[in-house]
Formats: sequence, structure tokens, C-alpha cells
Amino acid sequence: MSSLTKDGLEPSAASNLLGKGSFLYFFKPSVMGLPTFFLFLVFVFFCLMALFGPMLTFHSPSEVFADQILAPPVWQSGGVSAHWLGTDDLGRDLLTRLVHGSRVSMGVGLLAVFLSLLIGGSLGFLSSYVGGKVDQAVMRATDILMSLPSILLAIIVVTILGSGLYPGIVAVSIMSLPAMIRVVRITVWDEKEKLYIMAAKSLGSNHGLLVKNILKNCKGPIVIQCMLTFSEAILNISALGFLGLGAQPPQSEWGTMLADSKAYIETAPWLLFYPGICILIVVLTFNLLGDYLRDKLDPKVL
Amino acid sequence: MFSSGFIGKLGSLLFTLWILSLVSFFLIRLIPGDPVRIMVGDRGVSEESYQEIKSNLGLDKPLPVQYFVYLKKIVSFDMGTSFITRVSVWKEFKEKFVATFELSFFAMFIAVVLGLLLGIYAAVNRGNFIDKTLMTGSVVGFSMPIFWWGLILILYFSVRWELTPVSGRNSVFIDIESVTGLMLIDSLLSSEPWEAFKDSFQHLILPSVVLATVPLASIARMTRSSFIDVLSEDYIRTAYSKGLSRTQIYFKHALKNALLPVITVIGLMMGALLTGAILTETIFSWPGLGRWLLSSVESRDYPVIQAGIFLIGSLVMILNFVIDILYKWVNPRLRV
Repeated sequence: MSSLTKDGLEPSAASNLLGKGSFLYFFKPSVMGLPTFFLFLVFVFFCLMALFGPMLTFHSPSEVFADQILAPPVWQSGGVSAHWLGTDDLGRDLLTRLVHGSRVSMGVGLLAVFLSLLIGGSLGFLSSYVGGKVDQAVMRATDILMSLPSILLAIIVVTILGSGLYPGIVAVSIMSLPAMIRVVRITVWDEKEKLYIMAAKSLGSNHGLLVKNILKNCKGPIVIQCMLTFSEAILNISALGFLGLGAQPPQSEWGTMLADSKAYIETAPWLLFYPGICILIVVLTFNLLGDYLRDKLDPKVL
Repeated sequence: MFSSGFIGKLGSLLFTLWILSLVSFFLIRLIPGDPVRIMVGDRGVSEESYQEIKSNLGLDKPLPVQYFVYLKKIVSFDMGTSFITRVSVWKEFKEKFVATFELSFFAMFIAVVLGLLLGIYAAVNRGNFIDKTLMTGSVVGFSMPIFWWGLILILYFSVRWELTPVSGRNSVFIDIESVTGLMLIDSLLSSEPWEAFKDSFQHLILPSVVLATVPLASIARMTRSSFIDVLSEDYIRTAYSKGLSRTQIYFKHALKNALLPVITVIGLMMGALLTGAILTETIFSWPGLGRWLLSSVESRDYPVIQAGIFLIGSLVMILNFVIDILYKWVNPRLRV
């Protein structure tokens, strides 16, 4: 890959980042193909929406327009041009709340991935790298965590910490732990049995170098698991919000907004439609991109 | 059947049940603050009833004694009474369980039958348009926020087209005596069997479809990939060369062997099914375990939360255990 660049000998950063050995390679438009590229655009759109959307909205999510309660979307009769997707039962702008909700959902997803990677990843790695008693203990704990339905875990967390967005994040992260531990453990296990690691070991490499090399070659399945964790976390936090266990009403969170819309199913179906379609699109995009990456990285699995 | 594997599995079941009992025991003791004060909440309480609640819950004794008493109560199915309804928790659990069972059973029936058929249909059309559509559909089903899906179905089927009722298990004007607790069966035993059965079936169908969505998607996906694997086996080619019809090959030779991984997936689904049931019951006001546990969280009915978590958790664990054993029994290759 290395070619003569401005600096002379170093390969340019861009060609390195998009090179065959890198992940970003799979996100090059020419590699992705049209349908996946479209998915990728949707993904970028939602990321941008979560990052910059809240700064761009005309209204505040808690701003009440008392004279425009339950206004329908702008293209329906009775729609107001100031509120593109209509307003809710308190006269709050639906689009604004959706945009602010995207920040909550994506933020929770990211946090869950971070916590799950930090705790689950290190437990899984330790379990496999150290092996023996440590491995047994971690696996037993994982089994117990897995045998408990995730909703019960959430209820336990919420009973102890009270309901709210932050207990919800704790619950969602705990729910994602067992899968992460298992994936990291099994990939690291496969990798550390490989010949080059054995050879490095017998040549007296220190642990730091071994760990670095193992991790470098395990990132594929772990990245895929992170994507699954992300989409599951978004689904779970909105489910908790819907059940009244997660984010609490004044906060604009997609699941909580759906729960509020239940009473207006006949009179204001748009309140029900849009938060749900947002959840579905984000989760679907992530699952499909995860599938795509899995196909690329591991062509054996159907 | 009583091999060492069985004993080991039983041991680990008992161990997890014990951990669960610890979790549910410490649950109300981990709530920051005085549990009794939190339990009575804003209702306020006199000094005598404060002491009474405290001793009823066994909170006035040292911790190990409390736990021992708790275990003894669990074993004799005495889980205390609800603060709100004053009914024993075990009795309520049994009632609600039947409702959840009816819903989940029917949903699993839909998911398994449709999932197998669609999975096979996709497998035999491998790679073409039908297959791609079905598999995209399955990812959509898998990603579906079912609480939203349920509301959308209510919006169309119940509100717009008025085909099904919005909520509950049966209409108030139809009198059904509770014999088994399963509405479909009870309605057949009532004075107007046909009318009552139709009514309870209409109530059941929409929640079941909603609950079936996610399992259906994963069963279809699993069936497809395991069916494709099986179709490339030698004995399938032999069957073709013997001149058997496609139907015979698919449903007699291939299905039997393709079924094993599918059964594993179904077995792993029990916990997810319960999570789904809680959401579905909330949407359709189905009076089952999920609704029960959730309303107890809302009203901070701690005896119900504590016992509910233990009972529902053990139910899922025992189910998983039974499925695990059955699976070994169905698949002779694992019986070593």
C-alpha cells in the first residue's frame, strides 16, 4: 500500500485508513454497494441528528404552544407550517421532541456499548486469557445473568435505584453484558490458541505484547457485537421508557413519547407513528449494517 | 436419562435458584433508606403499624435469621400478601400465570408454524427474490419495537377497521365461568360456546401476533440456514434419485434434521418471550404476569415485586432446564 506521498516515505493517512486491513475499508462506497451505502447514509443522518439536531430546532422540546394542541402534520388538513410533524397533547412540537429524543437514544446506545465493552469486554478477556478458576467463575456468573429474563433485571435495578433514565442505562448495560462477555471470551480463546501467539509466548514475549496482538486480531467479532449491543440498547431503553421504568415524562425520549401517545391513538395517530418509526429505523439500520460487516468479515456464516 | 450430565444440570439449576432467592431477598434491603418507610410511601403510618409491618416482613431480626425464615417461606409457598389487594401473592401468581401461558402458548404456536414454513420457503428459493424479501422481512421483525407494532395494529385492526377488540381477554357482556383459567377452553364450556369462543379468540389473536413477531423472525432465519445446510447432505440427493417428490423430501427427510438447531433457538427464547409478554400485556391490558409485576412496581407493592421476581425468574429457569433435558432426549446424538 505504501506509496510515495508528499512526505516522501510515509503512506498517506487516508490510504492507510481506507486500506484493506482497516475497518473503514468496508465503508468505502465502492466496497459497500448501493443498498448498504444507503443504509450507511441513514446511519450518518441519525448520528448528525443526534449531534447537531438539538442546536438546529426552531423550538425547545418543552416549549408549549397552548393554541396549537394536537395539531396534525403540516400536509394534513389543519396542519400548521410552524410544526412540521404536528404537536402533542400539551402543544409541544413533535419534530423537536423527536430530534432531542434521538440524542437520548443514541447517547444511551453509546454509553451502553462503552460500559458493556469496558466491563463485559475486560471480564471476557480475563476469563479467556487467565482461564482456569477465573474462567469458571465468570462463566457461571454469565450463565446466571443469562437465565434471568432481561426485563426482570431491569425491574430489579429500577426497584433499587428508582425509575429514571440513569437507572435505565444501568439496566440496559447489564442486559448487554452476558452476550459481550461470551463473544469476547470465545474470540480471544480462538486467537490465543493460534500458532503465532504460542510462538511469541515461547520466545518469551511479555504480556503486554501478547495482549496487544490478540486484541488486534479479535476486533472483528467484537465490533459486530458492539453494533448489536447498540441497537439492542436503543430498543431496550425505549421499551423501559414505554413501560414507565426508564426516562420520565417531561424528557423527550422515544419510548416515553410512545407511552404518552397511547391515549391519543384515535385522535392523533401521528404522535404514535413517528417515535416508533424512528426506533425501528435506527435499530434496523444497525442490525443490517452489523449483518453486512459479519458477511464481509466471516463469509463462512450464512 | 439420569446421567451425570443430568445431575450436573440439576445442580446448576438449584444453584441459580439459590442465587435468585438471594437476589430477591436482598432486593428490598438494598433500597436506600428505611424499607418500611419506603414501602408505605406517602400513605403514612402509625408507630404500631410500622412495627407490625416490620415484623411481618421479618425486618426486625438479624439478617441470617431473616434469610432463613425467607427460604422456609418460599419452600412452603407462603410469599406474603399484597399491600394493595390483600390477596396472597402465590394465589395471584397462579391466576396471572394462566393468562400469560395462554397468550405465550398461542404466540409460540403462530411463531413456530409460520416461522418453519417461511424459513423452508426461503431456503428452497435460496438466493432469489422471494428469499431476499423474506430475509429482509425477518430482520425488520427482529428489529421491531413490539410496543409500537402493537399500537399500530390496534390503530388499524381495532380502531379503524373495528375487527378486533382493543384490550382485555373477553367482553364484559359474555359470562364465562373460570374453570381452567384458559379463556379459549372456558368459553367452550360456557352456556353460549360458539359466541364466547369467537369473542375470546378475537381478544387473543392481536396480542399473540404482536408477541409472536420477534420469535417468528428468528425462527424463520434459523430454519432457513439449517434447512439450506441439510439440503446439501448426501441422503437428500439419494432421496431425489429415488424419485421422491419435493414435498416428501422437504417435510419428511429434511425437516426432521433441520429441526434441531431450531429447537435450540426456541429453547433460548423463553426469557425473551417473557420480556415480550410484559410489553404485550401492557399494550393490550392483558391481565397476566407482566401487567401484575409492572403495576406492583408502579404502586411500590414490595411483597409482590419480591415474590414476583423470584417466582417468574424460577419459572423461566425451570422451563429452560426442562427444555434442555428434552432437547437431549430428542437428539440422540447428544446422548453420550
